[in-house]
Amino acid sequence: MDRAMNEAKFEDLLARYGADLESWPSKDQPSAKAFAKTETGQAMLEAELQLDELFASNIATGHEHTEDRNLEAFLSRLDAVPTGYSQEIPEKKSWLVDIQRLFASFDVELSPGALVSQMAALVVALGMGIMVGFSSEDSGYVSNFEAEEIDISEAWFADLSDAGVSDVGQSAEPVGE
Amino acid sequence: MQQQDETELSDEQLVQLVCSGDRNAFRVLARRHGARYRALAYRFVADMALAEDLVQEAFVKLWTHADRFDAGKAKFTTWFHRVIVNKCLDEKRKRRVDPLPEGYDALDPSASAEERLGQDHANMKLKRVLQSLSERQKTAITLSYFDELSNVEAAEVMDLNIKAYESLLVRSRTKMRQALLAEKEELMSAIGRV
Repeated sequence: MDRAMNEAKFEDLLARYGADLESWPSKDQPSAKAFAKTETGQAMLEAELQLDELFASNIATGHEHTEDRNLEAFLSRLDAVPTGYSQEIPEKKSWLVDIQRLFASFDVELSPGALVSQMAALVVALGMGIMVGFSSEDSGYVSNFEAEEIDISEAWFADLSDAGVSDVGQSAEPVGE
Repeated sequence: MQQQDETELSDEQLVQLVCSGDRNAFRVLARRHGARYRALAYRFVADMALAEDLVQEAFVKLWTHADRFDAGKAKFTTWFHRVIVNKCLDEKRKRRVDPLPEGYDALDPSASAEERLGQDHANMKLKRVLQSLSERQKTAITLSYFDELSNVEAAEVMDLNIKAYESLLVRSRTKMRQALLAEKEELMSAIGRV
């Protein structure tokens, strides 16, 4: 399908597909070829070809220097890096190391396996303790205790003699008797 | 592991060995990529001594902090390209004036006088046209056309998605072409043909 071609579109397609119009999308080719015959189109195509030549001629700044005689000296300098600098890579530690450090103050030698079994035994013992606690008959104590609604503040005002109060309202005994 | 074997290892495997303090692995990596990164840095800073210093600094960092490379996230070359490019751009930001490439006037005994003239002319033209680009555009052109990375790799180096990178590349190329056209028009008007 022939579509209208303008400078902006031609420029965009040129940058995407290069100066060879045959490699452009077929739908754009007829209008592109027509535009390429105009003075503007021709100049743009020439500039694109020139750009290709600049890139293709392998004269990218610096490239010609990669094979110079200083290269070997440079590579030797890189070779020497490990001799001149020490590595700062943190040691990868296992969590077992931390646990071993925790037990370091004890005068016992524990293998990782022994440590794991000790930890497992501790967890089992704690778990059993918690389970026994919940299943015990005494566990009803808590709810009974709550149900009684004991006012623990009652005792706080039982004796206000040290506060110098003579009339305590509901106090059972008069002060000083 | 013997050096003979290490030359056959991938970059990523070598970095792993570098992490564990393997000096030979480091040397294999340096020999494999040193020249390429030296040329890349030179294209950015246009000063060979400075380019070598920057690349050496990057390799020192590779030796001292090899654990910072995550093989699961990127290829070694993509990661190291990014390290070098960032170093060069940082360095360029610090400097105000870009000098001409070191040895720009030096004679190349392998080329005839005519060839040299043509090469110098083309070299200067390329340099002038590149100067019309922004730093990002120049980086894209350098990675794609001079360092010959694939668009996917170059996009990764620049931390862009592929579409954004391709449109950056298209804009860069368009701008270069416009600079060439402008130069030609300037020349024509100077000699009175326009």
